[in-house]
Amino acid sequence: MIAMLESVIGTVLSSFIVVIISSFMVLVLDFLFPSFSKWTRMFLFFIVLTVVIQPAFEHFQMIRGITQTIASMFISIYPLLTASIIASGGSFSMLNFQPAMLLFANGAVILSDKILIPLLSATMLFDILSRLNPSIPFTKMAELLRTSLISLVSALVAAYSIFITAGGTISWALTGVTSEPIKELIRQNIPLIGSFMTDSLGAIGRYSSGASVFIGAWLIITIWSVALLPTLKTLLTGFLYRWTAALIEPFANEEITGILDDIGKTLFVLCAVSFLVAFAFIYTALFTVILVKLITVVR
Amino acid sequence: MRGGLLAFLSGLLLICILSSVLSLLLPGELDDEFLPLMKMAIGIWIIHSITIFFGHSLF
Repeated sequence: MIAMLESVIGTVLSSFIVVIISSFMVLVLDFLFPSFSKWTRMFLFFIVLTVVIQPAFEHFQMIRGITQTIASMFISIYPLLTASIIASGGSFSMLNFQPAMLLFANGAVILSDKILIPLLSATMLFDILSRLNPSIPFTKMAELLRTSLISLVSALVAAYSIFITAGGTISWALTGVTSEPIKELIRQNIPLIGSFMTDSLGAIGRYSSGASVFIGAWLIITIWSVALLPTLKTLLTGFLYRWTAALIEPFANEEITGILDDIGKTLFVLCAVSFLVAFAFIYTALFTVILVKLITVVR
Repeated sequence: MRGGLLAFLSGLLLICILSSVLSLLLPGELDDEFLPLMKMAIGIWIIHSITIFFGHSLF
């Protein structure tokens, strides 16, 4: 966990230091040569773009790669699971098998690969263009894309949790009383996607608390951390963008802080998308482990 | 769909970068005359892309 934190901060922080120092240098240059202020603004803009875009696009690539891996894993494992459930007959009556999950997982993976990530890149481009040339703004378009993506993803996750809980397998769900204050805290403090995060974590928790009877708690924790690690990385990077924007706001150009803030927002949306992908992964992994466990116990 | 989106976005990027570089090179008092030209270029590109997206069903 600490190593992950170090790697994220180490890669991102060095590029942010460049942003901070160059915006200060531009301040000094503007003071010395006031007649060049238009040119220095443009140069600062390009320096910031070349430095800052790269970590965000690395995260895009990472989420896309994870999505493709999970798609191939799920599609290859699911027929096997179905066949063995049919073959083993009555011993699986406690687990009800939901074919709608196949639809959901495939749909989520295709959605995030074909639609969500291109649209997110388009959002980032619109943000940059409207900051580069303030007389031609695209802010409404970028905001529209972001909010519609968020609503799409949260609707999908709501459908997913309905599929899981309506099956009736999970009767001993996580009690809402104990976790409610923490949820409220997260919801208040993480902008844009906080409530979505708590809801989806609650859905995962409901499912895996049912499954922890069959498999150990440590295995569940392992699956959780493997699935949620990319999401956490993205969230952390988004926070670092906003942190840098807050830090340089007193002395830097308004456009530079605005662009950092916008990229941070886009990364939060990407974080929501990667939650969706993590769902598919957790479901598949838990199901496989339960199946293997039951086969060995029944033998 | 994706190719169309890509073409649309790269056209927008090109127009924006070209127009901002041009407005850097032009003297300051010509900026007000150049701004409507930029807006017209963006408008023409957006309308063109809409007609390409939806084909002839638009008219």
